[in-house]
Formats: sequence, C-alpha cells, structure tokens
Amino acid sequence: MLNNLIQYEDDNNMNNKKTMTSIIALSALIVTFAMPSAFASETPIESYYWQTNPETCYLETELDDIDFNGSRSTSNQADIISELEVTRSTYNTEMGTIDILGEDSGSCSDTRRIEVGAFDFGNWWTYGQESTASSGTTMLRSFIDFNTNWLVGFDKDSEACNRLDVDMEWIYNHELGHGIGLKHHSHVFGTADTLMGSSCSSQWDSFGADDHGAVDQHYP
Amino acid sequence: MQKNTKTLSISAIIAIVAIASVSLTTVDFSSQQTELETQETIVQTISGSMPAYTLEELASGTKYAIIGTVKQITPIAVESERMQQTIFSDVVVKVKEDLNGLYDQKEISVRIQGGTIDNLQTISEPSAEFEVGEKVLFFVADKEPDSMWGDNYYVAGGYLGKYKLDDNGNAHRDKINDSIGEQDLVSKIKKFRGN
Ligand SMILES: [Zn+2]
Repeated sequence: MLNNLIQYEDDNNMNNKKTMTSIIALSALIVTFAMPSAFASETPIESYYWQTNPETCYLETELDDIDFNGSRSTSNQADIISELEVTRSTYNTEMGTIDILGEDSGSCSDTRRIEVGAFDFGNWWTYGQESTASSGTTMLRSFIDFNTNWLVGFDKDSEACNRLDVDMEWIYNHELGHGIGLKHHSHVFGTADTLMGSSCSSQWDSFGADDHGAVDQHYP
Repeated sequence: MQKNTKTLSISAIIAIVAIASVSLTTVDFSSQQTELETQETIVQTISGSMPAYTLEELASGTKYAIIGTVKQITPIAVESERMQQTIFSDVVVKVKEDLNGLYDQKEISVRIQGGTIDNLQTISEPSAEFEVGEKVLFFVADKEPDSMWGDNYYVAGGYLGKYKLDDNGNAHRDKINDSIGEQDLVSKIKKFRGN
C-alpha cells in the first residue's frame, strides 16, 4: 500500500553518458578551484544536482501564483499554502545558512527561484510534477505544481499516498527536495532513510538520515 | 557524432564557467546568468509522481489501445506558463490495430513530454519514450484541450501506458523493467475492455 504512487527517476537516464562524464569531471574541477574546501572534501556531491555558491542567493517560493483552472479543482488552496508553510519551515531548519523565503523580498535575482502552484496536466498523468531548469550543473529555477485534475485526492494530513488520498506535506517534502537541488537518492549515506526515494511512501513524511547528509553538503 | 559535438560544446561552456568562477572575486550570479543564457544549453528535468495505474484501469478507462509501428517523432516547442517553453514531441504511429476497435485512421499522432530543439532540452521522467521503427502497444488518453497537452492525444499514464513489442512475442515497459507475453497482454486488455 505504501507504493501506490510511483515516482520515476532513472538515474542512468541522463541521456548522454559521455556528456555526463565530462560534466562530472569538470564539476570536480570547479569544486576543486571554485568552491570552499569543505565542499571538495565531501563524498559524492556529483551524485546530486548542486548549485555553485549556494550561499550567494536566496530561494524564493511564490505562494500567490496558484492557478486553479482544472476540471476537477477544489477549493483547498488554503490547505496547499498551509502545508507548504510547514514544509518550508522544516527545510529552513535543516538548511543552515540558507532560508527559503515565503515571499518575494526583492533580494533574489530572477534565478534560484522555486515557484509553487497548480496546473492542468491532464486526467491520465502525474498528480504533480517538479520541473528544474538547469544550465550545466547550475540550477536556474524550479517549479512545483500539483495537477488540478488530481487535487480532489489531496488531503492535508492524511498520512497516505494512494490514488484517492495523498498527503500534501509528504509531496512537498519530496518535491521541495528537488527544488533545492536534490535528485532521487537512497543508500548514498549508508541508509535508505530518505524522503528523496523515487516512490511515494511513509519515508516522505520527514527528513531522514540520508537527507541530513545530502542537505548538509549543499547548505552547510 | 552529434553526441561528441554536444559533449565538446557543453564541456567548453562548463570550462568557461569554471574559469569565470575562479577569476571573479564576487560572483554576481544574475549577470553571469544573462551571459550564459545566450549560448548555454538549458536542460529542463521534469520529475513527477505517477499514480500506479493498473493494466485494468488503463485498458478499461482510456480511449484507444493502439498496436502499431512508430513512423516519425517530431519535437515541438510549446509555450509554457511555467518554463516559457517546454519541448514535447509528436509521435506518429502507423496503426495496425486499436484493441478498443474504435480508431479507424491509418496513423495516429500522440504527444509526449520531452525532446530537444536547438539549445533547449526537456527530459521528462514520467514520459513514455519512443523510437522510430519500434513496434509498440500503448494506451491513448482522449484530448483534453485545457490541459498542457492542448488539442492532442497523449499516452495515458506515461511510461506505465506504453509497451515495446519485441520480435520474440514479448511486451516490455522500459522504465519499470517489466515484461509480459504480447498475446497474454492483448487478451488481458480485451478482457478488461469487456471484449
Ligand atoms: Zn522525485
């Protein structure tokens, strides 16, 4: 029952292994020369999306950009926002020097922004998706959108993950991980205790040991 | 060969970024970004959580269940509220049979998420993937013009809704690595359809 929803990410599907190999090699070069030594000495950060100089800019989350035009949309916009606030505060506790801001303070450039909303992805598609735009190893922008065709199945604190009942906080916990640059992973830090596993499960309910390790590397 | 060219160009760009990062005492990310945007390949990676659609749901709930051969794949840039542009691809399939018995054209065009045009690449993890010449069985969702698919058919359930048919009579789904006999699959679909 825990895996009633499947989120897929094929770590080998970066479509061009040669390109990836050279990106990884050059990423290592950048790490060596351009990043603080604390980053360079850590284990495999190239296993993740990571952002150059993550402390130079804030991430921003736009809460006012939610568009409820889908055919089955409901009026739970307030729940979406309140659950996002819970997740945002969790991440801010975990992320040390970086804060994900709740509103646009004007302190961030147009990049490094996470926008949250809802979109009509169709009846036979995902219940939500996260889209990351990146250039080389630099994340430019992230969008987290619920499928307005599925909103009827989203509950605030249902502690569940199936077609009729999806816990919003679980989804935010996972998708915001993508939003700050994390890929799906498990066992990287010696444990499968992570909310970045590829299938929705009760693991998505809170930060796991794996996530602490990963986030500490990006946002010490 | 195209891959090598791409590898070289991406490597060169990354090298430039590396050198710039070293030489700048204060990194002004926004101006650095403006320079990059004119030349850099932008990659959009879409990850999504797909409900675990069962074969029964797909077989009984979708408009068509097409068996055919992929004839042509054309990437198309679609204006997007989210990303300015996102690349989709229109996949034209020569139809051998619709297991639902409703589709009466020789070809069908279905839209999938993902593709590359110039320096914009969209990689969609939930999407089914197709190759020209591939024999396929897939479930077709009806047109939902208000959705991101516009006025196009799309593959229902993404990677869960598309099978590659091999010459040994087996049907495979790439991203979940499962396999079933083609005849077995067809008879299950027909049974779920009530045929
Ligand atoms: Zn994910």
